[in-house]
Amino acid sequence: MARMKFLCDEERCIECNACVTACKNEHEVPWGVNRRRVITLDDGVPGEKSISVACMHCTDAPCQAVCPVDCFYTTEDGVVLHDKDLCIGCGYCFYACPFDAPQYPQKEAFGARGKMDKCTFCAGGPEEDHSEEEFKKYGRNRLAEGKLPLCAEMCSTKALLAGDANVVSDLFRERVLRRSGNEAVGGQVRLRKRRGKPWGWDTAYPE
Amino acid sequence: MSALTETASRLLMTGTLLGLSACYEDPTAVTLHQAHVYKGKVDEHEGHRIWHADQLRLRFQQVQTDR
Repeated sequence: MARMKFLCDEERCIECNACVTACKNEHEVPWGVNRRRVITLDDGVPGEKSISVACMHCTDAPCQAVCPVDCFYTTEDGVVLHDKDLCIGCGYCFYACPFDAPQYPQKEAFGARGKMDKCTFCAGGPEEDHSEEEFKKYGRNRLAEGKLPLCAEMCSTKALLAGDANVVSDLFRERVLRRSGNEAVGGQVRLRKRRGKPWGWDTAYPE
Repeated sequence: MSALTETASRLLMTGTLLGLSACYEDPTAVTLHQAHVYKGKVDEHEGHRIWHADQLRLRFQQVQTDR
């Protein structure tokens, strides 16, 4: 069975934030909640790196381990989802998550946060597929339509990949080999004579 | 008359105390849950997983091909 994963290629991400916009638009995410965001390291410095981050749908999810009401569940596809009817908005998952994925719609008196919201890998929630209730609580269920998350599908540089972990890692491995000047053909690495670094900042912006 | 009122008030007080002590509840009616076991609604989406994997793989090849 497939295990769904995201992978963001920092060599390709151009910090356009289109994945963030697409996610907000597709799921009609409320103001103040960002299921996905782009993080840039060494911003403005030559060689800066950007990656798009959201829930990484961990195999052994810490949010799931700390939730006092056990509102999280993992689907057969390896997507970590949660039930907003059970969530009490305690914020434990927010502290446990290494990716800052859990988001809260409110910031009110006495620390009231409202029900937690996070990336669903475009897989909706436990409500009936494509129902109005599901859309209202979790957003669009693209996975049930046979589609992959919109953020990855519309990524213009194909930096953000989403799908079966094996397929994604195969594609990424080939990319890394190509960048090193080698080539992967049918799973075999074909060595080529290196003509300098064929990919990356130094190639795009030679000094 | 006052004795009757006193008896009624005592009965009322006893009833109230019993009610507040929750002794009227059936202890077997309590739902116990195991820790770290999801107890929410069943995800209907799970039922699609038979056709799902192949379709999603095909989708990946169609829209996320490398360039």
